[in-house]
Order: sequence, then structure tokens, then C-alpha cells
Amino acid sequence: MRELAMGRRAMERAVAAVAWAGTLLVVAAFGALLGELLVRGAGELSWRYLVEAPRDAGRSGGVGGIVVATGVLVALALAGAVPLALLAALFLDEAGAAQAGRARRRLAAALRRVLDVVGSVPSIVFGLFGNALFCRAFGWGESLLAGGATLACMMVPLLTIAFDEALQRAPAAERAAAAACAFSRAATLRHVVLPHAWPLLLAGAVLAVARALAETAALLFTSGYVDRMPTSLLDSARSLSVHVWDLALNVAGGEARACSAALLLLLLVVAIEAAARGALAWLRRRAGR
Amino acid sequence: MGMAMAAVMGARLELREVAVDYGGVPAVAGVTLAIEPGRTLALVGPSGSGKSSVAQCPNRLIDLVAGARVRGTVRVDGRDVRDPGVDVIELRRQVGMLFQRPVVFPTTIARNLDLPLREHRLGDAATRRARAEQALRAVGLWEEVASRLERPAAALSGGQQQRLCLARALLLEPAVLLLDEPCSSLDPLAAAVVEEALQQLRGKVTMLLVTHSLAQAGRLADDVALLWPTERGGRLVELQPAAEFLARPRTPLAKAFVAGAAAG
Repeated sequence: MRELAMGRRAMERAVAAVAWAGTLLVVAAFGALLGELLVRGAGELSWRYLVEAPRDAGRSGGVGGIVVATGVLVALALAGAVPLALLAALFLDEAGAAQAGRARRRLAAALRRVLDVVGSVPSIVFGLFGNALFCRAFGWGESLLAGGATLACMMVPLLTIAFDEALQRAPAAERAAAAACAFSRAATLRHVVLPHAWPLLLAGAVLAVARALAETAALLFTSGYVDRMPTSLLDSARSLSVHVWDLALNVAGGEARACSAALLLLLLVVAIEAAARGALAWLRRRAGR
Repeated sequence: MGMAMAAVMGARLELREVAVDYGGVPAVAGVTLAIEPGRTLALVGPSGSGKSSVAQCPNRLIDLVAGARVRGTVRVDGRDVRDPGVDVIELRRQVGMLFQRPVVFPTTIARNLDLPLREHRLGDAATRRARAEQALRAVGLWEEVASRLERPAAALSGGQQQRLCLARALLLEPAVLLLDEPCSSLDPLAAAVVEEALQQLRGKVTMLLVTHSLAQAGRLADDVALLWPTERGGRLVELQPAAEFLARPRTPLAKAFVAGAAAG
């Protein structure tokens, strides 16, 4: 008996040690990456770096037009993807209700499978698709509009899956209470489903934005890599991720500037995440929770 | 009660041969009963006798349960609730419900009461506030929450939450109130306060009370119906005035149930 207990304790210690080692490995890897970016790239970061245009293929100057182009691309992608994903998630939520017919439930199940598959399609495939449809068939050429639309197509499956999960967060008891209060479906959605769904809705949107910010392959085919300040949605423009890729691989002596741009990208993701957390806290305060 | 509800005497609720099954598994088999306007009927019986299923039929909340199928006729004020022409939202305004566990909406106390009124466009902001106050007074909760109406409803105690839910149900001035074991999740003190609030409603609204407590049925109900589980679902085995049922049950099952409750 005593030997069995000692063996169990030894096993527990071994499992804990492996878990700690794994965690430390991940933290160390991220720390090394961050350290590299800070050491090589932090020196360049300044207000002027943010507003000036790049010079000498990005070896000097800043990333003014590139930051604007990145913001526009993400905004276009969100504007296209969020409403579509929300509508699709609402359809899936409604199809899951007891009153929904069998045909609708089957359609919803098929849609979920399609979303899973489309969500795992490599981004370069989306790039080729976006180039064929938006750049050529729609005649938008390599432009912010074509890049934003392509990013939106990439985001829709991810956002729909996240939004679908978010909408299922509302407890069945609260939905029943809303029905008992003679709430319409729209009122139930507003007052019961959405207050529970906000955290996951925001988390899904932040993940989608992070993915859009990090996207390179699809944008190379659709928005191009002109590093000037865009003046119209039909201008070709370069995102920060494409800038990092270009400096690191195509520009001799551009590695340090690639680290600066990558650090800026990282800071942007952190800022967006912090803003989402702030928005969530505000929503919770407003809801009285 | 002071509310406009005082004038409402309730509606007649009638169930005729009502049977319920869930995906083919029977829960209720051919229950027939009627509750006259303003009267309270307690539905008692062992677990699994289909009491809650019956209680979810008059407001068609059973429609929300996957696989649920209802047969027979349920009439509120003479109208078949499953008639295709029935507006379910209007039906649920007329037939309110209180659940076993209090279910407050994830917002403040004030908004819990304001939302149903606003959704049904019942008055301007001042009128809605006045109605909310009346409803809170009707359930004896006003003095306890008047100074913290903007606090989260979830921060209230279980008994207070249940009274808030009762106030919320009363705001829409229902003619019928379905009470699915409204005190079973509360401590005895909180249960007594909720019961007192329900006592005040007797005669003013038709009530269908599902309860495991025969003592509570005796205190609150005019009539008692006993459901008993069978292989074909819960069956109605006895329906009597409450005092008669408790003192002189007629059928062997009712006698056993009353004796068991007395012994327990």
C-alpha cells in the first residue's frame, strides 16, 4: 500500500515537472523572440518612424503610409466580415432551436462542416482566389479594396465559428425566462444572448484582426506592395506584415528595420487586445455585472 | 395589490386530453382538467409524473424543448393555444410563468423590470418606473431594493431574485400564472416570503402551481390534482378541492401519496 502511494506521488511529481518544463519552454521561446525584436528593432521606434514615409526601400525613414494601409485593410476586412459572420452565426443559432425544422438543422450542420473546411484553407489559396475574383473579375486591380475583401473572405469562417460559439453561451434557463416574459426572438437576442456572448464575440474579433494583421501571402496577390501613402481604396498599398517580409527577405541590410516593423506589429496586436478588454469591462459595467 | 392587476380576475384554463412526449418517450398521458378564473390549482405528484411538462403547455414554453410533442387541447379563455392563428408573444403576455430556480436577466434590478415593459411598449419611462415600483411592492420587495435598483440583479439573494422574477411576471398583468415549484430552490424563510406574495395574488389571477409540498398546496391552492407516473406517462388520478384532498383522498394512490407526505 505504502509503495503504491509513493509510486503515485512520484508519478504526480513527474507530470508536474513535465508541465513546468513545457511552460518554461514556451515562455523561453516567446521571450527569445521578443528579446531579439527589442534588441534589434526597438531603437528605431519613434513618433517620426510612425509618420514618415519609408526611404531607400525601407532601410531608412518610417512606415507612415504602411501603417495607414494596414489600418484600412483591417477596417475593410472587419466591415465586410463581421456582419456576414454575425448573420451566419445567428442563422446557426436559430437553426439549433427546438422549433427549427429538420431541413434547417441539416443545412446548419452542413454549413458548420463547410466553415471548418474553409477555415483551414491556406491563406495563399485565398490570395489566388482574391486575385482572380477581386483584382481581375471585379477590375479592382491590386488595391486596398481587393486586399480588404480577400481578408474578409478569410475572416468569415473563423469569425462565424467564434460567433456561433459565443451565441451558444446564453444559458437555456435565461432564454426560457425571456420567452416566458413574452420577449420576441430579437429581444431575447438583445437582452439575454448578447450580454453573455460579448466576451467571446470580442475575443473572436480580436483573433480575426490579429490574423489579418499577420497576413502576408494573401495580400501579396491582392493589395500588392507599393509603400506609398494610399490616397484611394483602389491604390495598391503595403501592409506591415508584407513590409516585414520584404525587408527581411528582399532588402539587403533591412533586417534591423524588419525587426522594428515586426515589433510595431506586435505592439499593435497587444494594443488591440487591451482595447478589447477595456471595451468588455465597459460593457460589463454598463450591464451591471 | 395596488396594481392595475387587482381588477384582473384571471382567465379560464382548460386542458383536455393533453399528452406530452419527448422524442417518443411519453411524459404525460391524457390529462384533462380545468381551472376557473381566479382560482389556484396545485399539481402534485411524484417525480417523473409530468407536472412540469403540463405546466409548460399553456404558454407553449414546451415548444422550446427539443423533441417535445404535445397532443390534446389547451385553452386559455376558451382559445386553443396551439391554434395556428395564435400569436405566441401575446399568449405569453397573457400567461406568465415563474420557474423552479429564479432566473434574472444579466443586468440591473431596474432593467430586469423595465425590459418587459419597454419591449411591449407599455408606457413612457416615468410610467414604467411607477409600474415597476408597484410590482416590487406587490411582492414585498420594494423596501429591500429601492436604494439599489441600479445594482446587478444577480447580487440579490435567491428569495429576493425569485420575488423579482414574480414582480417581472406580474408587470405584464397576466391572466394566468404558471408556477413551476417556485419555492423549491429557496430556504424556508425565503420560501415563506415568496409564498406570502403568491397568497396575495389568490383570486386575482388564475394560477397553476406545481409543487412537491402538500402543505404548500394546502396553503395556496383551491384545488389539488394528483398526477401519477405510468409507462405511458403521467396520468391524472385525482382532482379535488384542496381541503378534501388533504383530509379525505379518495383513490388508493392519493391516499398513499398523502400518507407518504405526512410521514415524510
